[in-house]
Amino acid sequence: MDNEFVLSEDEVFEVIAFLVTAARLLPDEPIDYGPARLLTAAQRLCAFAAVRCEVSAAFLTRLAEGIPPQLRSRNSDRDSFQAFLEESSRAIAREAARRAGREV
Amino acid sequence: MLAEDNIVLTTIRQRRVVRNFNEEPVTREQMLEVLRAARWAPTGGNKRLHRFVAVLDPVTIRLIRTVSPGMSGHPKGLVVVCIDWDRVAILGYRGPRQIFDIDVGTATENMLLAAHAIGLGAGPVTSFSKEAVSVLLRLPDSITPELMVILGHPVPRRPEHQSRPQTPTRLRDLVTWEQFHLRDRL
Repeated sequence: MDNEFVLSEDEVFEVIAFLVTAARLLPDEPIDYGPARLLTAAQRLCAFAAVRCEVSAAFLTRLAEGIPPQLRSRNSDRDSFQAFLEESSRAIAREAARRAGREV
Repeated sequence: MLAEDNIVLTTIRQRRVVRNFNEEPVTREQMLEVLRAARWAPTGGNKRLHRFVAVLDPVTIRLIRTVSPGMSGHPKGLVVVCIDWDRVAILGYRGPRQIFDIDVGTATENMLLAAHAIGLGAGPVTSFSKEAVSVLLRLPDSITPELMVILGHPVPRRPEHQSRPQTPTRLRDLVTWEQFHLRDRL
């Protein structure tokens, strides 16, 4: 539901702290850490929110579960990692359209 | 003695970075064993420029995790390796700071090996906010946190979760003999 809270204050704080501290660190870190940190933040948000979401709970759960294996293999199988990012982007577009009641 | 029979070399070969831990706590005695190993690590000139903050309190660990993007799991203990810059100044060190980082590395490796030797899992974390961790640990300005060793009882990793490189690194990928030979890098 659009107006329901799906994150607790502690969960919001955790993700904000993660993002801000990661922003401080990333200029000094390897380039692949950037996508990894963003995906980790997304995974945490998905995991927190999925238990309270109604419309996209299943989608968020799938996304949260799909991220950790990709993070582990992102350097050993870059093609798979890239494909995961591309397919996840498509899936998000489809889910966004579904939420808006629009067929794509 | 063959390398296969040597417990030190076996421990070195078997140790792996561990980031996922179960709920079993790390005891104070286990932490002390890890810290003793850090104490025995070689330091440049035997000057002992480092300080270690050992943390077992779950709330402090949770707070540190909040400001540590590189900490993915939930450790049950951690050691923050710090440099004591007052001591650096007293001893009159000049020049690059890399020499201090080397000592951070030797202490860290000893702790990782000690943790493995007593049945704990451990891993290094460098992706954390030094500023935020300094606040949480009430570090004075002259003490800077450089690296954390996270500790806990490892969750067995499923084979599909092993993040091994597609091509294992061989000794000859890293070493040339007597002189540097560019062709050996190919």
